[in-house]
Amino acid sequence: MGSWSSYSLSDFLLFSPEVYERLFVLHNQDLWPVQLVTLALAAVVLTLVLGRAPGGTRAAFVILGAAWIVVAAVFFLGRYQTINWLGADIAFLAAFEGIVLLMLGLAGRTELMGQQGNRLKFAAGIAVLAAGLLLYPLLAPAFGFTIVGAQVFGLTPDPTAVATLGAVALQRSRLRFLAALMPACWCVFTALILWTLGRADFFVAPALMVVALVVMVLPRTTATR
Amino acid sequence: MLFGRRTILRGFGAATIAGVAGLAPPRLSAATAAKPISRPIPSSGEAVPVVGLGSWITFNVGNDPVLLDASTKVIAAFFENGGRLIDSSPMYGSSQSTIGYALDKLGYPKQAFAADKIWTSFEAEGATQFDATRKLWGLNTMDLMQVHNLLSWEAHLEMLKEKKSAGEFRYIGITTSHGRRHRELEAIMAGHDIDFVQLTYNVLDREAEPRLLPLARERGIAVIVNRPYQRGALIRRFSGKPLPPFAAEIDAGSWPQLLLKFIVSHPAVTCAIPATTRVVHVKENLASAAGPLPDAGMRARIGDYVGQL
Repeated sequence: MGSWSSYSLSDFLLFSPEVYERLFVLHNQDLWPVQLVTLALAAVVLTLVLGRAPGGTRAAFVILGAAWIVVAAVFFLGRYQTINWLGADIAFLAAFEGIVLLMLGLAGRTELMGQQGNRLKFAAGIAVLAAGLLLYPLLAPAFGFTIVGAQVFGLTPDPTAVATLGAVALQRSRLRFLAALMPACWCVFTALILWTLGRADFFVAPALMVVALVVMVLPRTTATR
Repeated sequence: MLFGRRTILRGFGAATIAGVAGLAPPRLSAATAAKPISRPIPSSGEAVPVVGLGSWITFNVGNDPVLLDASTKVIAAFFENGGRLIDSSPMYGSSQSTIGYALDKLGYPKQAFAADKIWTSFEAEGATQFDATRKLWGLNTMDLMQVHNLLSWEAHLEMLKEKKSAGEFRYIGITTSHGRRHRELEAIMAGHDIDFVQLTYNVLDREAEPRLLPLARERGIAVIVNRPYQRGALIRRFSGKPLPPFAAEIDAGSWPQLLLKFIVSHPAVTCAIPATTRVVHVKENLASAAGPLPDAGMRARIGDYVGQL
């Protein structure tokens, strides 16, 4: 019994399903009504990405970067750290992701592919982006949890990670792979947590991540004869 | 458990607050159920009840006020029903601070036996972690400090021996779980002057039986048993299956009680530390150690019966 094979995922889980669910409830209660602000910003990001104007996409990436920094400070350090001693380390990585996105935005490395190219690629990227930005809060009631414990873009990691993946999947720059690393890792991490907690919604973030990663490697234009 | 002046004053103030919050200090009345049996710690003769309280996952509730108060009720029920030893670790998230919160609310019950661990790979961090642990519990003196999962055990054991000599805690121990690193544990038990060893032992995980438990008796080392229910998996596994007919002979009315009686009836075991978030489970656990325990013959029958399920 001395090898790693004697460990299971549950051996690494520090908290109960109830504690994790209430973590988000308390987070939302303490921050209300900031959620309305971040949801408004989410709508702005979606609009800017759909518009694809150079200035607009730069602003969208700056907002995404700021969202990660808020998640790092307010969620991972302020909330998650209280139940997981890895919280500070994850906060550091989340802040780094925020800085990467901010720099991409400020440097103008945010040119996106257009609808005139691969329509499927564009539509799938926008769908992932919209899911992270606006649809994620509805998952909580959809899976039988209270809406008060919903995850909201810019305040909690799952929707922020998914939205980021949707945006960078449409990016032309090769730096999109760097920008996708942290959110993709978080999608896997959160899936393992939720699966170990026995939650039915464990597949949502990694499924959207897979879609985004496929979008990233699809050709920007469809083949023509 | 010894308290400094500051701790006592804090406790006094907290008792007032606790009363207001409906969390009055435990009253050890005659109406309380029969007390669990106790076993002596071999190195001192001090008696501790054979059922303690673990804190892995159950008390890692962060700063959630509702769950902090729920945990306090569990700990209050533990003391009210004769419990003493509470075990935690820096590895267990916020469990240490939850226990500290509860002890503060309950006015630092004098019967509390504070057991914690050093859990770090870095030698230099051991002493700092010990100080942090005392602060989180709100205590100047701990009862038992253990090296968690043999992590950097040589250095931490030396540090702990010095602190024990200085009177900063009373007993020294070392832990493992899941049956891991038993050979190394055996060598430490045989070659070092320790008061406690903590290991996994239950009706299905019996690797400790042939060597470690007899060695503990021979060396006069108290044994704390972790994972008595395999984090609830044993209870789920046997729930719905009939109890053996002979369970009634030892007043075991449920699977958890039978499983716990099996563990604490081993003569080398000093204390088992099931963890729970529910008051009713605390009472049930302690009650199972208040009645008759199986003898060697019945222990064998329990093992056989469980093996056939």
